[in-house]
Order: sequence, then C-alpha cells, then structure tokens
Amino acid sequence: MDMDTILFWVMIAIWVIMPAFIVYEEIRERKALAESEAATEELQVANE
Amino acid sequence: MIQEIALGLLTSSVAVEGTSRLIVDIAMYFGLFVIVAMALNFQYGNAGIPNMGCAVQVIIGGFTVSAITTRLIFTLAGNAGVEILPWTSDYDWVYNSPVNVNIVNSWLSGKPLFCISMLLFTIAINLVLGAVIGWLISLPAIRLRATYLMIVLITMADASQIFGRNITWISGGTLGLFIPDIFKWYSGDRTIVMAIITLLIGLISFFIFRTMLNSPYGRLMRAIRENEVTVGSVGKNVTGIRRNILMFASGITAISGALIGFYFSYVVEANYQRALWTYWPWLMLILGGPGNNAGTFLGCALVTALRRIIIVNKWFLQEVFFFPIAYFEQILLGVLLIAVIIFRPNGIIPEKLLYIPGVNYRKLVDEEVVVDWRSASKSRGASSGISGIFRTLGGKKEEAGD
Amino acid sequence: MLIPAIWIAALTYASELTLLSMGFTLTYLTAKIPNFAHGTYAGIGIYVSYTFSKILGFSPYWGFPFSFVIGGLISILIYFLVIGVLQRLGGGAIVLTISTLAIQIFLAGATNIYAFWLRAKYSTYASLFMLKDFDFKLGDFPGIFIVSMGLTVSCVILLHYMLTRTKIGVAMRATAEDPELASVLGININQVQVFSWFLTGGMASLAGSMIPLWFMSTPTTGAMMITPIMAGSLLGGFENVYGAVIGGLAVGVSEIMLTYWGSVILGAWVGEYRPLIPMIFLVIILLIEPRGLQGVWEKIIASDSGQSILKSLGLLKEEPVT
Repeated sequence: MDMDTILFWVMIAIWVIMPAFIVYEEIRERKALAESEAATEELQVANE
Repeated sequence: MIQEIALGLLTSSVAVEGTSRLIVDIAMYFGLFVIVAMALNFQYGNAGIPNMGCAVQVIIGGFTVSAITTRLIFTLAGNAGVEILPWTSDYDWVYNSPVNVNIVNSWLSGKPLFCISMLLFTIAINLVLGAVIGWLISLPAIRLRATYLMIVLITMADASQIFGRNITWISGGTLGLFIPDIFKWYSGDRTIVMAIITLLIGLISFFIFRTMLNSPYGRLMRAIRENEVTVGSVGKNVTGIRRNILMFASGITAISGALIGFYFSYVVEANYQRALWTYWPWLMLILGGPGNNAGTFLGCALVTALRRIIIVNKWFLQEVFFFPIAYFEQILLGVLLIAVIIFRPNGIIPEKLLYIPGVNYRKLVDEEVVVDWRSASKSRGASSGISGIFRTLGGKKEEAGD
Repeated sequence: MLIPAIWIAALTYASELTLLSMGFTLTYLTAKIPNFAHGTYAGIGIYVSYTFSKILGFSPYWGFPFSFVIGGLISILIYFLVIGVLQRLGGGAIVLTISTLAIQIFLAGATNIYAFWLRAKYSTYASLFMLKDFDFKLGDFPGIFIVSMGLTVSCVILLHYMLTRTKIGVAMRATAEDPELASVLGININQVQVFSWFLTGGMASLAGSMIPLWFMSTPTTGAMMITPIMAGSLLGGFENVYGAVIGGLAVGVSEIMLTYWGSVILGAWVGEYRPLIPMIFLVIILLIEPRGLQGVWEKIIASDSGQSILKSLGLLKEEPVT
C-alpha cells in the first residue's frame, strides 16, 4: 500500500467525520430543545 | 489559455486518476467553499451583515501567496545560494516565473519543515491581511444602509480584480504567476495532501465558529441581528462588535484564497471572479439555511457536487449545447437562487432556537417564534440589519411598525 | 469637425447612461430596491440592434421601438415572476436585492447564449461587434450622436410631463411616497408597479440598443454598465429622477474624458483603469454625502448663507418653514 492510497482514505475519513459530527450535534441539540420544552410544560401542568 | 495548460500539466503528472481524482477534486472544492460559506454564515446568518464582498477577501488570499510568499521563498532561496534567474523587475517577475519556480521546487524538495512553515506563514499573513480588509470594509459599513453596503462591496470585488489584472508585481497580470510547490518533499500526489489540509482547516474553522456561536458572544451576535437598538441600550458597542465580526470572518475567508493558489500552483486574477466566490457561496448559504452550520454544510455539499458533476461531464454536455457550459452554469445559478428564495426561504434545514439548558423560549415568548429570514427585516422593525442604526443615527424617519 | 470625436463619444455615452440612470432611479423609487439587473436590460437592447442590422438587414434604428417593447416585456415578466411574488411574500430589502442579482446572473447567461445561438445559426461572430457601418451621417455628425442626445432629452421631457401632468404619473409619485396611503386613496398599486417596470425596462433596453452604434459591444457590456448606472443614480441622490439626469451626464462624461485626459497625460495604461472611475465616484459619494446632489442641495437650502445666495439669485420663491 503506497502513501497516496493511505492519505486518500484519510481524506475520505475527515470528509465523512465532519458532516457526521455536525448531524450528530444538530440532532442532539434539537432533542435537548424538545426535552426542555416538555419538561417546562410538565412543570407548568404540575403547578396548576 | 495558460490556465488550461497549467491545469493540464497538473493533472497529467499525478498518480491518482479517474474517479479518485474527481473525488479529491470535489473534496478540495468542498473544503474551500465550506470555509467561505461558513464565514459568510457567521457574518450574515448570525450577525446580519450582508457581506457581498467575499470575492475581495478570497482574492486577497490569492494575492498574498503570489506577491508575498513567493517573493519570500525566492529571497530565502537566493540567500541559500540557489542560482535563480533575476525576478526583481516586473518583466522578469512574470516571464522568469516558470523557470524560477522549477529551480526553487528542486531546492524545496528536501525541506519539509521549511515548506510547512511557509504554509503556516501564509495562513498567518492571510489572517492579518484579511482582518485589515475586513476593517476597511467595516468603515463604510458603519455609515451605510445594507443595500448601499452591498453595492460598494460588489464593486470592490470588481476593482480588486482590475488591480490584479493590471499591476504585474501582484500576480503577474493577465498571464498569471506560478507558485513554488510547497509539497515537493512529498513523493506522491500532492493534491491529496492539499485536500486534507483544506478539509482540516475547514474543520478547525467550523469548531471555532461553533464555539463562538455557543458562547455568550454568539448570543450577543444574534441579539444584534434581531434588534441592535436594544443591545446598544444595555451598553454593548454594536459597531465595534460588527467590526470585530467582519475582521475575523474576513481573515478566515482569505485563507481559502491562498489554499486554492497552492492547489493549482498558479495564481491568476481570472480564478477569483466574483460570480464564483460571492454568488455561489451565497447560494450555498441560502439553500442550506442561513443561521446554522449544519445547513451551510449541506448547501455546500449539494452545490459543490452539482458544479463538479457539470464540469466533469462538460464534454458530454458540450455536444448537447451549442454554447459554452459556463453560461449554462450561470442560468442554473440564477434559477436556483430565485427558486430557493421563493420556495424555501428558510433553507433546507431551518434555523433552530438556541439551546441553553434550563431556558424554554416557547414559554418565555408568548407567541410562537417563527424565524423567517425573508420577512426578518420587516418584523425586526426600524432597526433591521445595518440600516437601522444608521437610520437612527442619521435622525431619519423611523418606519411604522412594531 | 466642430466637436472633437472624443467629446462626441463622451456625450453619446453620457446620454445613454442618463437614460439608464433615470430608469434605475425610477425602479428604486417605486420598488424600493436597487435593481442590479438594470444594466443587463441594456445588454438585451444591444442584441436587438444586432439582430435588426446584421441578421434582418434593416437599419438598427428600426429596432429601437421593438427594443423598447421587448425590454419592457422582459421587465414586466421579472416583476410578475420574481419581484412581485417576493414582495407579496413579505421579502425584506436584502432578499429583494439578492433576487435582482440572481436575475442579473440569469439574464447575462441568456444574452451570452443568444450570442452563441446566432453564431451557430447564422455563423456570424456575435460576441464582439460594432455597428458603426450601419449609422448615417447628419452633416458633420454621426447620426447616433444626434439621435441619442435627442432621444434622451425627449425622454426626460416626456417623463417630466408624465410625472407631473398625467394621472398615472401622479399615481406613481404617490406610490413612491407612501404605498399604503396611496392604496387607501384608490390607486391600484399593482398597476402602477407594472407600468413603472415596463417603462424602466423599455428605457434601459432602448439605451442599450444605441450602444453598439458607437461603442464596441460584447454580451457582458450591459452587465458591466451597472456600476456607472448606480454611480450616476447615486450622484443624483438615488431618490430623485431629475438628479439622476445630472448624475448620469456627469458620470458618463467624466468616465470617458478622465480616461482620455489621463491617457494623454500619464500614458496609455490609464485606459485599463476606466471601470474604476465610476467605482471611485460611488465610494466617494457614499463616504462624503450618501444622499448625493440632492443632499447637498438640501444642505444649501437649510443653511443661512445658502438661503441668502438663493434669494439674491431669485431662485427661492417662498420663505422656508422653520
């Protein structure tokens, strides 16, 4: 295996990791947002 | 034409061919445009500054490589005892450039550390010069309405190209200038190394932007976008923050201009057209959804893939069309921009509310918050974008509204 | 010859620019956006002239009315398909400006494709041409000099008459002042907008069809003219049609004359920097007095010394309200 091929796959790896991380974070934040919303609603219902 | 010859030389000598070559190319362009579009998202999506002058910042990056880094390498090589042809006069600078670059390249082949330090030096200079350009842009931005600012920035992009075309010592005028190959020490295909570096810089700048957006400073930026008068009234320096944002983003954008110079080993002003470096990044931003990085990434990936596929299938498409494919790209760009603005104003991934643990916006704000960037400047009332503060400062009549 | 050739070129160019700047200002008044596609209408006019002279074999002057109508129709189409839709959807100024940029890119591409189509169909080289041979001579002057000056002057007079005397003109001014109030008073804003887009598109295309009779033209000539157009309009105050007349003339004449004098004094390299002159105008105006000549005029009226000068000249009719 020559250096070119290794670097090629390193490049692909970086290229895949970047969007994967972003998608992961996006989903996590959206989930957290929805959860905090639900929690506040529950709290309000309990208060009432 | 020289451009095409240079490209031909470049592609003929590489080991990677066919599909993998296309993949490397797409990765490279993806990295470049991610840097530009993310900086644009930072400026427009989050701080509300409509920067139509990305091309100016990118061209500064390219000129830095040709005018500063190349000169520095020539000087250092001359001091080290390498016999290079004279390059100080304008004429020699252009016409001896291919020979000189060849000589310097063979000298560079044994010095990986020197080459890497040159790359880092270029990036550092780019950050500084980009920041200077950002500061220059911010001078009219402090005074002008948003639409006037767009006019000035678009003309500035053209002006910088005119300077590049006519002042030979910057980038060799219309002939262009060859750049020493700073990856000569690597025996294989250097375009892969270049693509890796570009993607890494894109990744790093993504993390920097993300951290800034999630910090209090990022919330301050969004607050300025929404209502700058409120932010100003609680004692924040709105114009100063705007200036900082422009300077920072300009510096990051300039890096991509330098990277493309190294990628082609060749700098010519025709490579830095405003259509390529302003309108396409704007399409990416608007298509993906301004205000969040995920959208910018998606827009970048889609648009870059589209463009590269068109260019790769050029010979096939050329048989169908009777005109050069570049004009087809123009038509496509115009139609896509208008279609996105009309049919998907929020982009593919709309902007989400900022997540801060323990805070529930939907309960804080009684009505439902709809982040619609299209109607944004209306709902933001008199203080929309840059226009508002100047309207207020200039004592102009405020718009009726909330 | 009575007037040197360079002045004929400068005045011809300036009168074409005046027409374009006037239209640009009119669009800004009624739609409240800087229309970046305005220069590209001129590109359409250039190719109407080319089609009439080189393909159909008429004099390019026969193409002028067609050019006006075609430019106007394209402009109306743009209003119906893009600008009107976005305005109804509630687009802000930035969004509308970006959409005009997109239209400009689209139209420039279409003009280029048309040039290549002509090349494929009629095997004529339509990408760089000049129609000086199709012009006539009126005494010592080339016909286009007389025609462009005459057309511009008559357009200014007609526009002035229309804006002050006719119903549609008054409606246009009312819409420019305050669209909501105008619609309350029973003015059909949509109609007024369509009319103004037709007028501006037609005027721009007409001005464009005069360009190749004296100047070298390419498919991008129209798109490149947007900077001088905006400089002229901005010099006149951006919101004043009469200011745009003065601004367009000043920018047009100074662009050609400064390049000429510069190349005489400093050498031929100045010619390369010709596109910079309107840009310098633009930046200087924006930095010193963003409201152009109108702003200067208002400052003169507001100041005491200016008032006394105007009174002594008999220009000030009534006492200003303090």
